[in-house]
Amino acid sequence: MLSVINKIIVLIISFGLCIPWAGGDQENTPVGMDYGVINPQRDFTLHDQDGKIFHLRDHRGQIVLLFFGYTFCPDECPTTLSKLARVYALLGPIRKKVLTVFVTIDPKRDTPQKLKEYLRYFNINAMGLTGTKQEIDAVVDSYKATYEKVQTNSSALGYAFDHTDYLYLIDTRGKTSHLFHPEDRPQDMAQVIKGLSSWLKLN
Amino acid sequence: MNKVIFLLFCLLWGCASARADTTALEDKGKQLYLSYGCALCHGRNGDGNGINAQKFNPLPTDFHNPKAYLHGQDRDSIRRSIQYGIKEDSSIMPAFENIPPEELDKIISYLQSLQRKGKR
Repeated sequence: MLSVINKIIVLIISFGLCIPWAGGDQENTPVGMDYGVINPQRDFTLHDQDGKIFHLRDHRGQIVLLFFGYTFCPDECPTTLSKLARVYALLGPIRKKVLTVFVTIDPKRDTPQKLKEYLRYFNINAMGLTGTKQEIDAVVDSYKATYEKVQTNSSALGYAFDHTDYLYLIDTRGKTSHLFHPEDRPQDMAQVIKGLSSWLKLN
Repeated sequence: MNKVIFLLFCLLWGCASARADTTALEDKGKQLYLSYGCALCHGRNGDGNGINAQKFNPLPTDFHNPKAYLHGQDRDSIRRSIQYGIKEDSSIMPAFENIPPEELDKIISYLQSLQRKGKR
């Protein structure tokens, strides 16, 4: 369950969704909202699914869709990634400039190999990231996200997580420029990403 | 006599053409099935043994086994299960409500083709 305070912060930030793009200059965010509160350092470091060090700053030329989840997730993660498969299909040629970054909140069970195998099941351009619990928690905190471990009735599942299910749209400068909500439609998401891509002159 | 041969030819041509269309539809359905991550639980060949399958009890549906379609094996029932998910009898099938109807139709055609083939 999201804490009330974090939920309020995310709601305030996501208010930016209601403000149309103002066509600002390159220094400002195109959505007309200051997302500076989300990961103001515009970087983080974790380990990728191939065991290499991943720095967000190394992906400055790409649009990044950041998601926190875990491969044992029975609902939000597969449905979100499935929805992203539809979004990527709608993106056309710019799909290769959009990288989905899936940060596990379950490093104990999600090995790099597991992440890699899991993400292959979706037709998206994705990278799985992991790290120590402390490293992951630091990234989660910097994006004002939350997660909480819960025990389940399923002995096979063992435990599960309630977790933030927003997708963070990060521009080519590492700045969070939009938050996608679970109820957002793929066609609207694709439109926002295309708009950002066009604004950043990625086409 | 020529007319009969011509009619038979047309009939065979029509059947072959319809079969090719069906196969193309099912092939497209399989591509979509793989693209949307269905295989994660249901397996790359639809036999219910995806990499996440063992986490669930009951196990994900094996689409080759008509008896395994606990919520109906006709097109509408399958459509409902995918679009709205199943959360009863400890089943956890999330709702995949963002698959466009025309793509969903192709996925269902693929699943029904597995049903027809039966358990291998």
